[in-house]
Amino acid sequence: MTGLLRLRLALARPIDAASLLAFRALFGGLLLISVIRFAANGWIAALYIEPAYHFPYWGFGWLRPWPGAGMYLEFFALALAAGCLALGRCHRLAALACFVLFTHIELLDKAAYLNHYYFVSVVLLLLLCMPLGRLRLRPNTTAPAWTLYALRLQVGLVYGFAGLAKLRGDWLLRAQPLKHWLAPHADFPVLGPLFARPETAHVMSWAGAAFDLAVPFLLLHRRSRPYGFVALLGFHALTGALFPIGMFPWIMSCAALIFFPPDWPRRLKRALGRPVPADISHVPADISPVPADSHAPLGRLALAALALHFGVQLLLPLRHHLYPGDHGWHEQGFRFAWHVMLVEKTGVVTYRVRDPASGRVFVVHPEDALTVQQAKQMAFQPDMILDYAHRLAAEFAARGLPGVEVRADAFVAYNGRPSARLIDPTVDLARERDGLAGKTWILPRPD
Amino acid sequence: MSAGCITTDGEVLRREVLAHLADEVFVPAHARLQVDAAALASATTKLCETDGADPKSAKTAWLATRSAWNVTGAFAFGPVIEQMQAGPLDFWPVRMDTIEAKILEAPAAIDAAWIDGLGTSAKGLPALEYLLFAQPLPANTPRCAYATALAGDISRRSDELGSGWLTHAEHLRTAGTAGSAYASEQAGLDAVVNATIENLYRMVKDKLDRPLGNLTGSDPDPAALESRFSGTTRDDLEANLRGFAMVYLGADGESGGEPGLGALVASRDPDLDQRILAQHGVARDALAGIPDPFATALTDHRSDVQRARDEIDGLRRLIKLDVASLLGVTLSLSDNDGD
Repeated sequence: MTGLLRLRLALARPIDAASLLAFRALFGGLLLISVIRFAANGWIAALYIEPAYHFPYWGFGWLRPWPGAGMYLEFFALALAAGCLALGRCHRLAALACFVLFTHIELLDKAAYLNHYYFVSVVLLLLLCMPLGRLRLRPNTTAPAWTLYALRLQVGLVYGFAGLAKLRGDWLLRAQPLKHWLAPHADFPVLGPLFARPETAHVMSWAGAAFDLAVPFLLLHRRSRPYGFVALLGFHALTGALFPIGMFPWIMSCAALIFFPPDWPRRLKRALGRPVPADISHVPADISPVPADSHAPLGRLALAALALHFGVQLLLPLRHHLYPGDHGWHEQGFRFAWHVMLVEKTGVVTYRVRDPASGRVFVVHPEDALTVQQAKQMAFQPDMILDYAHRLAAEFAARGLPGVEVRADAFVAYNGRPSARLIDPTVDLARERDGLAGKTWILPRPD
Repeated sequence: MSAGCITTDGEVLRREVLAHLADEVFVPAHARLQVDAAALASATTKLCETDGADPKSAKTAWLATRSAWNVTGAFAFGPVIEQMQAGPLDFWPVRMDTIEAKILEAPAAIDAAWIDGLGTSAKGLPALEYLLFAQPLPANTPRCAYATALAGDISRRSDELGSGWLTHAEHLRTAGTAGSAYASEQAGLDAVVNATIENLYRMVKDKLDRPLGNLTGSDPDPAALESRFSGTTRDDLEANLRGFAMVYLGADGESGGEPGLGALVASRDPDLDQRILAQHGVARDALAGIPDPFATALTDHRSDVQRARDEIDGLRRLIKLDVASLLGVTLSLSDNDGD
């Protein structure tokens, strides 16, 4: 038997599907709550209806929010699909709808990017591909082992790359941005006085990096798992209480349950005094009730798809190494890389638009045409500053001034450093193209 | 700096700063506005009741009220937002046609309710400035009656603002405790810093970029100047900067004295504090260096006006970027999630 065949057999080995079904129910439920919360806070209108302009992702500029009540309908459809996913109804269709609708919404505007939204999309894609269609929590309900491993690996990658991203001078030596973020919480109950002390930021920075790097391994092993899970709950409870990170702590805390033995929901039911079918109670969690050689190996195509998915997941967070300089400053390769809570940046940008035909120069304050959220985000993200420069060039062309030059006076304060110019003010951004190539018009980070 | 506002580590306490600003800066500044606005109402009434009266005292009262109002522009949050007073008190550039039309429409006896029902473009300090300064204002005319009614409205609104601040100061002073409108001391600080940033932004964009023609790529436009009828644009800008200095330096206006925002900054980053003080001085000097009259300087000494604009913008950047970052301020109170 070749190594590859052994791998395919191992990945297809039937395992107890209980934890997968619980994961699906919790994930769908949290997605539903997120949608309701989003609507209740008025963010559907604030983020997708009110803005006159949306910052497109590279290659997705053709996407537009639905007109009229379309965005509300899309969120309503997403809520329905999330409910179905949570209840295990029409698994494929529900997962497909959740993935397409959620990802579409997230791709509409870069200003709304959050790491945990990206995580939701990736997990929905995995769930969509999993054969969980008709499964219910019944005796001998099994699923192929790859489903469990894929989710564990995906969750582990989030923490692993978040930990790797923290192995940098700002985080470890300057305790930034935690030093700035903790100080305002001096009135936090009990721990407040500690947060006001700079050494606390240093301790928490190192502890945070160690936590991110260690927690996937702690969760993988039976003996360390309880400690790892308690640490995880404590970490997310504290960060959730200190910082406005919405559903992120809930999503990650629930996602971590996938590291527990696959029969944990049955054990929980038993512990709660609920009847558990006798024929399953003796089955060890990670061992299939079906003999290992009686199942077909994972298909080659499926294996290739898994390899492709995780290849992308491994390479995307590393792509920032292709760009010289501090990626926290220039933000090339920053998104989709689990660079979670790594930078504290604020920016101010003003454009100078020059009509070469007449020599007239217009000063444009983008705050007037953008929402608060958009203006705040775009002011320190070079690709968004470029996007808006292109938007201005198009607007001026539409007003009868084609071929204008657009330059930006953009200043950024980054991780406690004095504010400095971010963009070369001499470069005509209207002539610069977006893309994956390095952006030479971003000035180096000052020391 | 009072010893009580510094911890053993030299950290200035936010609650001391908030309490000082509320009690010694924000409330007194609005009380000043109330007094000046009441004097304006009285002087305008007197002017319009007495044939041949000298308009000087009414004009002087208007200038004082305008100055007091512009000082409060540096901390335009809380009651001025809740009561929506900024529009009715300070709509400009003046729409002369609207005002002239309303004078013609006005009833013989103008009461507060009628003025209250007017749109913002027909009332407020700039509308009264137009009536007092643009041309003679004969007593016992509908024009003068309208001016009197406007002055009364300004005084009434100033009283409402002053009363509002008496309550709001308590919220700021007790930020982070039950019953306060501010869930935390940080939320109170956010409101103060964001108002400061907004004030500097309005100075740059509305009060200088617009008349300079920067926003339209055109020639300077003196008609877009604030307080153009009285020719006191510079006074307005200086009052705005004075308001900033009161927030930053505290009521005594001294660095290292009473605890303003600058005390918090200095305790954490003395270099940044010095840069802000220096930039404030540069901006103030640049403004003072613009030759009189301002409207003429707009065209004849454009580079001087532009320089003042750039220096004020430099001050805005320091507050919005460096200070907001240093103090952990949530800019513009956006409440979306992050991670």
